[in-house]
Amino acid sequence: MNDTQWLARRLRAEMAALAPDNWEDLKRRVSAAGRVAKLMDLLDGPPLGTGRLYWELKMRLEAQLLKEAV
Amino acid sequence: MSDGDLERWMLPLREGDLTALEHIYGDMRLAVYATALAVTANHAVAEDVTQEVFVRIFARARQYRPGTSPRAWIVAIARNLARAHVRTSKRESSAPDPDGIAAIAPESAATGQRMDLVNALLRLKPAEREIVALHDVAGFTHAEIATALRLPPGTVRWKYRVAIGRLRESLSVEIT
Repeated sequence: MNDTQWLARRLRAEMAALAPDNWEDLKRRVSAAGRVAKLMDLLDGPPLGTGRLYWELKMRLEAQLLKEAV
Repeated sequence: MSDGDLERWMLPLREGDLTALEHIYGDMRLAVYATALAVTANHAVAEDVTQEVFVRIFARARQYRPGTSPRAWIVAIARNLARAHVRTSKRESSAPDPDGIAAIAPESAATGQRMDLVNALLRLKPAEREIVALHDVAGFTHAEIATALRLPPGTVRWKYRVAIGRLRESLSVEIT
């Protein structure tokens, strides 16, 4: 193994020790994002419209669902 | 996992298959993290970007064009998200860190692994960091990196050599 290959291997090992490996967290985030997308579709349709109440409700729901995911 | 193996998982991913996402995550999380760290130069942000990238590819799997390189597609998403984070943090920070770099603890608390080389990488220029991370950690060829970064292949090879020289130098300084 030459010097450059040794450096590459060591860098990879250091990165591997730092990289996140949290499948459960990712699964929760994916599930929350899916629920948000479904709700957004629901809210985007009639008859809720696009008034101030609609935007407030949309933002609060999104914030709540994302908070639950973390 | 090769591009071909990865592409086999991209098809079920388009149908919302979580098992496919788990395989892709297992195979690509290191490449995605290395890319995000090279762009943001911040471990905490890079960790968050890594998770966000996989949420994004699950939601947008249908945008992947079969027959193209899934690794390149995923890494492009990682670069874009990481760059968006850098732009946002520059806008939001009233007193920005002069170089925006957050050094990593010299030793991993969990594994005891020394972090000399990662910290040396963070001190390189942004383009050099990306080229080294994509080549040495993500396993891209110089030609693939040239396409991804829209740089001439000769420039990529030259910057890689310069960066490796700097890493070697900073490591020998730390060891002696």
